[in-house]
Amino acid sequence: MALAFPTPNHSKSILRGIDARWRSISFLLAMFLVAFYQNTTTLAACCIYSLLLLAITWRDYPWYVPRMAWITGGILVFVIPGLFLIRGEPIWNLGWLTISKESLHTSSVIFLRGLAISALALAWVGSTSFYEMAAGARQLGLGRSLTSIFWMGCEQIETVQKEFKRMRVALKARGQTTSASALSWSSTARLCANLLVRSLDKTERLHHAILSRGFQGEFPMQSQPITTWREILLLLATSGIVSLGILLEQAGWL
Amino acid sequence: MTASPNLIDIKGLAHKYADGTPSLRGLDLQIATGESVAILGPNGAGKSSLFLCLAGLVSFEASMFQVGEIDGLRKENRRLLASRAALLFQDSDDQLFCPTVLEDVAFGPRNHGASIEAANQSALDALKFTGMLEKKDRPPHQLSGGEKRRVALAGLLAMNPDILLLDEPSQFLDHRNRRNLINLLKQNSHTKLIATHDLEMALEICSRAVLISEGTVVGKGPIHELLGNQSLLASLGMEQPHSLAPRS
Repeated sequence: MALAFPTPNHSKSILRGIDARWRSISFLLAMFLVAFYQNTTTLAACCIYSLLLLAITWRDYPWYVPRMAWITGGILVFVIPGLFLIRGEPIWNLGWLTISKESLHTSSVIFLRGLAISALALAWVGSTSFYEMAAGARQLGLGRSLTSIFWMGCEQIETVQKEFKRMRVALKARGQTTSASALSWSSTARLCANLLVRSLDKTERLHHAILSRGFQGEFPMQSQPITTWREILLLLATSGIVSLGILLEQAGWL
Repeated sequence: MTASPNLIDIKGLAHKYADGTPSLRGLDLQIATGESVAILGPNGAGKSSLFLCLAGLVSFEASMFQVGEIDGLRKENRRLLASRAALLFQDSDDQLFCPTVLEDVAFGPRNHGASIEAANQSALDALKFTGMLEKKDRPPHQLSGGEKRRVALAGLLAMNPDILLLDEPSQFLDHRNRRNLINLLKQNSHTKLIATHDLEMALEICSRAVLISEGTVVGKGPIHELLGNQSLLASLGMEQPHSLAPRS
């Protein structure tokens, strides 16, 4: 979630005109289906397809390329130890470091699944604002409290991030540097506490603003649900293609 | 209880911050329908707290709290206050949270039960009134400070409230946007309470003023008379507006 902030420019997504409910269903279902892939070859194809979807649906490269790089690094941190820890038929040996066939398969599957799901999640986040996600989820039947918690959580994280940005600018303007002296660490700790208090204060005002406009847990969307060929095409291009891959894998054709 | 002739009738209003510091200490306020009243006072006087109480957004105590037909002393009625008294926040960034301007302005009417078509129409009318119709599909965070303020005002007008509570409406605005806002507010016929340090703006829009200090009312009356009282203003650390200051 934190990787999604600062919130991207949704107006650059070619999916922005498609009904938010369909966007959410299409990407969430595709992310869920990726978990059923078993074969590394088909999973690699699925991963490439997910990355292509991300690149085609949303041209905001400076936003998602560094995030994909961080996600890849994060997944590798968990996957690389597994390469050497899972025992089985050895295929590569260097002293006590052994990579087995099983460990290579398991690590590859985890890595490719993680990458494919992350690419689909970023494509979803890039085309759908958190408000639209919450409103869409509510209209798809998610409970009122859960939806409110989700939306308020997103607003809270965004508020903290904005306050952090403001504080950083204010600090730089007054000559603060990132040197790791004791004084700097203690002032950083105080600043973190200050950031928390400031963002809580800001969130309270936002909460007041929402309540003052009559919010009682429902998320009004300003359009009727739309289902046209574009919504169906998106569903087919995401969940449809991903499920087709699983079917072909299960049938032994891939 | 006898019906009050005033739209707002408050007696003995008290409010404390979360840490227990009192912000309002037995404040009395009466506002008639259609009046434009300036709420004046130094920083920390309790102007914003008064507005939060009037909009039912914080808990408070009072011996009388009547807004229209709503009895604010009954806690179950406090949520209804927001539908009658719409609050414009000091910082418009606090107020705008939807992905597009149109959705943000229609957020209030939809919450008050309007259909999608009716809410959109109210929003479009309000945006037209504030001159922001062309920006209806823009994300609010991409607007300038003056535009954000006008969108926030449209969000209030779309709810069709009885009372507009405007907290520092001219803050952060340049001269042109300030002038546009003043003209908009002068054209608007709602009952208005304006908390501000911009005394020249208050003189242009309001007929009456209430001076607040340390959570209580220390002066009230016709705005020209009140702002002409140099000794009262000086005792609160306030300066007379230039347009009323005696020429040397």
